[in-house]
Parts: sequence; C-alpha cells; structure tokens
Amino acid sequence: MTVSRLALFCFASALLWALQAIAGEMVELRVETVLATDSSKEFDSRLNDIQPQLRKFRYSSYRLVQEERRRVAWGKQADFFLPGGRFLQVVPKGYLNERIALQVMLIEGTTPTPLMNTLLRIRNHGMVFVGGPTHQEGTLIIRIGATADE
Amino acid sequence: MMTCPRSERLLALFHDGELDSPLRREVASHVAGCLTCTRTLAALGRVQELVVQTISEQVEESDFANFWEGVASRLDQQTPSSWRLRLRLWGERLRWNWFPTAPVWAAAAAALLLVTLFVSHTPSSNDKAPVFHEPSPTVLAANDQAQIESLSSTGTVFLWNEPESNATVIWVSDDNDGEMP
Repeated sequence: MTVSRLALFCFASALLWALQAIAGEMVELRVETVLATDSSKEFDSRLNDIQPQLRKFRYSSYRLVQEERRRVAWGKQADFFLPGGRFLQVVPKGYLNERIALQVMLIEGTTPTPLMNTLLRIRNHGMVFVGGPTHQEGTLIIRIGATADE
Repeated sequence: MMTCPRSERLLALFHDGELDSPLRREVASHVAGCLTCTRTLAALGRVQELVVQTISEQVEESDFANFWEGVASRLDQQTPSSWRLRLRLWGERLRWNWFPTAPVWAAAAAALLLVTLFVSHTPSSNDKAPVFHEPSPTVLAANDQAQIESLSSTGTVFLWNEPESNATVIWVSDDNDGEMP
C-alpha cells in the first residue's frame, strides 16, 4: 500500500468515525403506560423496578399496558400514542449539566389545546411520572424516561 | 451436370451474386440453355426492381423534417449516462491528480479527528454506555427529581416530588374533579 493510499484510508476512517459520532447524538425516549386500578391486587412483574414509586399512588393493582422506546434527534418531536385516544408529544430540547430538557405535551383526542404542557429537566437516565387520565375502570400513570449518549 | 430443380434452388443466390465462381459458371451455363430458369431469373430481377421502387417511393414520401430533432431529444434522454461518464472521467482525473498528495489526506484526516473530538465528547466504543440503561431505584433515590420550568394544563394539575424516591409526579385530572390518588 502506497503512502497516498494509506493517507486516504486514514481520512476515510476518520470520516466514518465522525459520522458515527454525529449519529450517536441521539436521545432514547422511553414511555411506559401503566393502568392503575383498585379492581384487584395484581402487580405486573415488568414494573418491579418502579414498584416503590408506584406504590405511592395507593392503587391496589398496576399493569403495564404499553411500552415504547424511540431514538430521536435533539429537537425532533416524538409522538407516543396512549390508550383512550390520547397521545404524548415529547421533544428533547437539550442537554446541560447532565440533565435532559424535555417538552412534554399530553393531548387528548383532536383537542387543539393540550391537556398538559410542560418544559422540564430530568437527569440523564432519569424519569418523570405523568398521571391522572382515566381509562376503563382505572387511571393511567405514564413513566417518561430519557437517556442521552454522553 | 446442372438440372433445373438444382438450378432453381440456386437462382436466388446466383441473382444476388453470392455463389462462388465454379458454381456461378455452372448455373449461368444452365440458365443460358434453359428457358424456364431464364424466366425465373428474370422474375427475380423484376421482383427486386419492384422492391427497390416501392422503398424509394416510401422514402421520398417520408418527412424527415423532425428527424434530427428526434435524435437530439433521444440524446438528451441519455444525459444521465453522459453525466455518469463525466463523473467517472472526473474521478479518474481526480485520482491521478490527488493520489500523490498524501500529506493532504493525512492532514485532512487529522483535522477531522480533532474537530470531531472537540465537537462531540463521545467516548470510545469500549467505554460507551449501553444504549439504554435501566434506572435502578437506588440511582433514582439519589437524583431523579425533575426540574419543572413551565407547566400548564386545561384541567386540574398537581405537582409533587416523592420524598423517598425523589421521583417527580405531574398529576393531571381531565375531568376537573381534582381527584388525587
């Protein structure tokens, strides 16, 4: 291999690495929807890691009804459809001091005004709970988590 | 000795001048003494004349006014391959001109690496954290309290932090009864 070809190979490798680094600047959003009711004593084992937090809500039954993870670029909107014709719009706004800024909107049906609209900052790998919308015989509790590549 | 059936099979080739010399002489000799084959050969000549005449008439009647425009239009349709050819030629020229400049490639690679390192703080693949890290309750208890910068709702909304886990909860009541769990 000539010196020229070696140099070209290094350049191509650097370019690939740079592209990979740029592509890595994404946020993984995780939305889990839990149906909390008082109709039974069931506790979904998939929710074991947040059992202490969920128990604070004082329902007797917690069941994971939906879970979705999505990788999005900063500033890009991600829509998560929830049970009961609602959906959640999440936009990762930025990353500062190990915290991820999220714009979160809870929208019900085709209503133009969101039921809830908030701008918040959670720690990387952290989460926030949004609860309250009723569904069937219970209440929905939504865990929103975000992980950014450091 | 050439016979009529054999001669008839060869007459078309003889007429078109496609027979080699000995055979041509043999057929010519036979035709000269055979009235049937002479008539057949004459008929072949007549057919050829008619064909030539018909084609000539059709060519004269044809309108070639737009012929070159049609050719130009077809050439335009083949532009992509032309561009591909140009690109290939350009690439060839570039290769010959640029390959000897190894320091340029090396400098570009170094610059790119430095810029990427400066812009992104992505660790190496060995040190990279998993794409999704399952948050453990221990970690959450330490620092998972969210910072709310703005909050609005069309219904009743409650906001609190669980003191034990530091988990932040936004409670939205969509039926305006203000009920909390």
